[in-house]
Amino acid sequence: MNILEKIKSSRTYFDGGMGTLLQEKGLQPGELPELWNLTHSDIITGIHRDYFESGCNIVKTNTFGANRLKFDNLEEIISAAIDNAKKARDEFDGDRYIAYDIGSLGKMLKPLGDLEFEDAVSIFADGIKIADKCGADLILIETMNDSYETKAAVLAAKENSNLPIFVTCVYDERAKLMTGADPSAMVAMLEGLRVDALGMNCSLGPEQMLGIVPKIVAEASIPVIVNPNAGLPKSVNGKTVYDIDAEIFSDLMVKIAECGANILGGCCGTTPEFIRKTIEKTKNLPYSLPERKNFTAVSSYTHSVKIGEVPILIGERINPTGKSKFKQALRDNNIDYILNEGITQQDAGADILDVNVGLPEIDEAAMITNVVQELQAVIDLPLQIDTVDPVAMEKAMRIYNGKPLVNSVNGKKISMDAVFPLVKKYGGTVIALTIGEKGIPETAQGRFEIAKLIVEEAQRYGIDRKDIVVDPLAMTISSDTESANVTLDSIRLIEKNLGVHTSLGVSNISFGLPNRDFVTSTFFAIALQTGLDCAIMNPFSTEMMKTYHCYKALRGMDESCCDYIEFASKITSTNTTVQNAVSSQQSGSEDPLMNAIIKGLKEKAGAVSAQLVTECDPLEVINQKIIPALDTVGKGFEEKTVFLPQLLMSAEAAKAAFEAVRAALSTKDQQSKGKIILATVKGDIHDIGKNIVKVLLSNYGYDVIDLGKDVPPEVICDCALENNIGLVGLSALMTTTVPSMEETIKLLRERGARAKVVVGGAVLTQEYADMIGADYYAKDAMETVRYAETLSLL
Amino acid sequence: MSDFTVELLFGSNEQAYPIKSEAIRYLGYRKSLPDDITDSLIDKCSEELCAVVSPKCCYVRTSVEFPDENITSFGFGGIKSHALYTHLQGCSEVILMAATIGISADRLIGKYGRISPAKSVIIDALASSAIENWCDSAELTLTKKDKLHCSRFSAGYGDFPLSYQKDFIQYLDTARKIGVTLSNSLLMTPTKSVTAVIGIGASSRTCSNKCMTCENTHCIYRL
Repeated sequence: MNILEKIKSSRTYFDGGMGTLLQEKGLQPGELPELWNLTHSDIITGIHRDYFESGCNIVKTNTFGANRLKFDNLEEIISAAIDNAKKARDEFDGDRYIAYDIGSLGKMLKPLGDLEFEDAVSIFADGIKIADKCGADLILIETMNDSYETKAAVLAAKENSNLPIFVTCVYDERAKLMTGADPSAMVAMLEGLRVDALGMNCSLGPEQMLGIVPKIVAEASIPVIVNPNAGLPKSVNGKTVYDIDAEIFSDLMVKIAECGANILGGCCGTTPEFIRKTIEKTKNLPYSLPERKNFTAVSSYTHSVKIGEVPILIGERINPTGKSKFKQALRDNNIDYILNEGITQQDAGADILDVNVGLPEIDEAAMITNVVQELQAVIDLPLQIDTVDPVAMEKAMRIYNGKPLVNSVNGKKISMDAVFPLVKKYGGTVIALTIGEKGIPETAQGRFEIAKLIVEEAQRYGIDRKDIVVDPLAMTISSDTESANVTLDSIRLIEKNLGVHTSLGVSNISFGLPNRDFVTSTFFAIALQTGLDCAIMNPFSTEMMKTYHCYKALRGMDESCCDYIEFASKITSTNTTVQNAVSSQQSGSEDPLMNAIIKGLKEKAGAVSAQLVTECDPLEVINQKIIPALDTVGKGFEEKTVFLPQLLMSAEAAKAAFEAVRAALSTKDQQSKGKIILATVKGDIHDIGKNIVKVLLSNYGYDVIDLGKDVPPEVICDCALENNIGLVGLSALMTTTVPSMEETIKLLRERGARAKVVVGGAVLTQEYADMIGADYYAKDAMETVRYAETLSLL
Repeated sequence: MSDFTVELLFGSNEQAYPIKSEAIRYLGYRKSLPDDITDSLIDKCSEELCAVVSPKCCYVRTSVEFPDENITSFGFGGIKSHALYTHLQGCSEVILMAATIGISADRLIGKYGRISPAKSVIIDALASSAIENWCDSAELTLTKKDKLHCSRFSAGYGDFPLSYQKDFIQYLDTARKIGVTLSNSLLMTPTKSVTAVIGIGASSRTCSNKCMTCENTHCIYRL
C-alpha cells in the first residue's frame, strides 16, 4: 500500500537521529554530513538498514542541509542519498518508505532577514525536483522554526511534485515556533495548504512534548507526527549527551501515542534501539485518526482566530472607498499611513484586518503584495485579502504568512472559477457573497439558494463548508425598509439549514441616514442575536464597540465582564485626560502649543493646533509657534541639553500639530521645500537611523521619498533620476554594508544624477564618507536637516 | 540532518529585562537624566518589551589552542587576530556561545519605527540592554564552576574579523537551536543577538568594566 493508505490504516513509524550516529562513525564538527552520501555511502546505507531492522516504516534521507546555499553538486548528493536509502530498503519486505528530508535553510526570510520568499521557494524546489525524479515516496519538511519558511517549502513541494507532504516544526517549551507561531496557527496554515500529515520534531524530548502534543491533536484533522529528541542535551565529563535512554523514551512515547499521535519516531540523539523499543510498546495500542474538526479558522504567523465562537471584528479601515486621504496615500505609496491604520485598528480591538488597496490608477497586484508584506512584518492579526482582481488575490494569498480570510467569492460561475482554485492551492477561508448570475435576490430564500450553490461548488474543489463564511449582504434601509429584515432572515436560514458561519459589512445598513452609527450599532446588536459570526466594521466607532462589548458581556462570553470593564474604563480615562490637558494648559505660563511640542505631548499639540487654526492664520501658527518650538528643541539637541528620545517626541508632537494645521492651509501654502530620497543601503536591514532622519526632514517641510531598507543601488538611482532629486540620504549600520553605499554613490555619479549625497550610520566617519565619495557626512539627524537647509532642492 | 551536541540554556524573562540606566546611556544621555515625560515613556516601553522577550542561548565548551603567534584555534581552523590571541592567553578551554532575546523585539522596534520613532529608538536601546543583561546572566550560569575566566569577546572586536560570525553561527547550529540566522552581509537576525567566546583557565583574567578593554577610545558610549 502507499504511504497515505498506510497512515490511515495503522500506526506508522519514522526512524530516529542520523547526526549522532555519524559523529560516532567519525564525522567531524563542522563537516557537512550530506557529503557522506558520496564519500561514505556504505555507512549511510548501514544506518538506514539498522533503522529498517528496528521495525520502522519510513527512513529520512541524509539530505537535511542539501540545498544550493551549501552545495553546487545538489543532484549528485540527493540522488546518492536516495540510492543509499533504496539499497537498504531492498533488503526488507512490508510497508517501507523513503522520505526525502528537507531541513530549514538557516536563513531568515524578509522583511526580518534578507532571503526573499520566492528565493526560498526556488531553493526548496531545486531539491524536490531531483527527489521526485529519483523515486522518493514522500517529502518530509522538518525542523521548521518559522511559519513563513514552512509555507515556502510546502508551496515548492506542491508545485514540483505530487508526492505526499509531511511537515514537522520545532516548538519550544512555551509551545511556540522561534518566530512566534502556536500550534493552532501552524495547523490552520498547513491544513489550508493541504499537507498530508503534520506535527513536531527536535529541540525537546518526549517529556516536554507531552504538554504540546494535545494542543496539536486538539486542532488537527489530519494524522499527527511526533519525532522527539532523546531528551535534552547535557554535558557529562566534557561530553554532551542526551538525558534519557531508550527505555524511558519509549515509555514516554506510549503516553504520546495515547494523546493521539499517529506517526512516531525520533530526532537528535535517538538510535535504532529507541525506535525498536517504541514500536514494541506502542504497536498494539488502539489506533484512531484525529477527529475531523468542525471549526472555521484563519491564522497569522502567531495565532489563529476561530470564527463561530465569540463575535469576530474585522477592521474595515484599510480601504480607499470614500476616503480621500487614504487614496492619496496609495497614490504616494505612503505605506506608513496604511500601516498606521492597521496598528490603530488592532489597538482598538479588531481581530482581523481587511486589506483593500484597489484604485484604478495604481497597480493593485503590486500594491496589495507590498502592503500585506509590510502589515505582516509588524502586526500579528490575521488579514482579510479583499480584492476583485484574481491576479492581485493570488499574489497576496501566496505571500501571506498564514491562512488568510479571502474577500470574496460570489455565486457567479466566473467568480467561483477564479477564486476556488486559489483557495485550494494556498489555503484560506473565503467570504461568499449571495450574489447570483442575476444579481442579489430580494428574498432570504433566494440568498440562501445562492449560498447553497456556492457551498456545493466549493465541495467539488475539495473545499470544506467550514472554510466558507457567507455574507448575505446588508443593504441600506433608507431605500427599502424591509432590507434589514431580509438580511436577518437570511442569516437565520443559512446558519440553520446550511451549517456555515456568516459575516456582514454591517455599516451599509445605514447608508444615506443621519447619525449612521446609531442605526448601524443597533442593527449589529440584532444581527449578533440572530447568529451573525463576524462583522466588517469600524473599530474606532464607539457606538459599535459599545454594542460589541455589551453583547459579549450580556451573553456570557466575557468572563467576569473583564473585557467590558476594561473597555468602559478606557472611555472614562480618555475624558479625564482631556480635562487634565485643559487644566495644565490654563496653568502654563508659556505658549501652550510651543510648550506641548517642546515637551513632546503629541495629543495635546494636535488638539491645541486644531483649536488655534479656527482663531488665527494657519501660516502664522506654523511660522510663529511650530517652527520656533522645533528649533528650540533642535538647538538643545545640538548643544546636548536635549537628547534623542525628547527630540523625537517633539518631532512627533510637531507632526501632529502640522497635520492639524495643514488641513486649514491653502494648496499654495502647502508647497514643500523639495524632495529628498532616504534609503538604507543594500544588504543592511537596520532602519532606525533612517526613520529618525525621515521624521525630522518631514517636519522641516521636505517631501521624503522613503525607499526603505536593503535597497539596491539601481532602485535608488532610478528614483533619483526620475524625480530629479537634489539630495539623497544613505544609511548603513555595518562595515560590511558600507561597500554598497559606495556602489550606490558611484552609480549615481555614473548615470549623471544631480543629487548630492549625505551619508550617516553607526560605523561611518568623516574619513569613511570622504573615501566613498559622499558629499556630506552627518553625524546625527539634526545635521542632515542643517545640511539640507544649505541646499536649494526645488 | 546534523545534530552536533550543542547545549541549550533558556532564560526566564526576568533574566533578559533591560536595565534602565544602561538604556538611558545608549540613548545618548551622558551625565544628565531624562525629564519626567521621557522617563515615563521609557518605563512604558520597557513594560512592552519585557512582555515579549524570549531569552535563549546555545553553547559549546571546547579546548583552545594557539598554534602560532596571533593564531587562535577552537575547532573551526585558525583565527588570525592579535586581540583575540592576547585576550585568551593562559586559557585552556573556551565556551563558544550565542544568545538572543528573540524576534519579537525586532517586530516591536519595527512596528514603532513606522508610527513613533521616539518609542522605536527607546525600545531599541532597551532591547540592547536586555540582550547584554541576558548574556551576563547566561555567562554567569555557564562559568559558575570556573573560578577564573575572561569576559566575553566577540567577532568584530579589535582585529577579530567579523567574518568569523559565519563559523560561530554554523558551528553552534544557531538557526536550529535558538533561531539566530546570518544575512549575506553578516547581520544577525534577530538583531538583538550576540555570539561570543569566553576563555577559561588558571591564569586568565576577569574584567568587570567592558569599556576599559575596548580599543575605541572615541566611542560616545564609553563610560
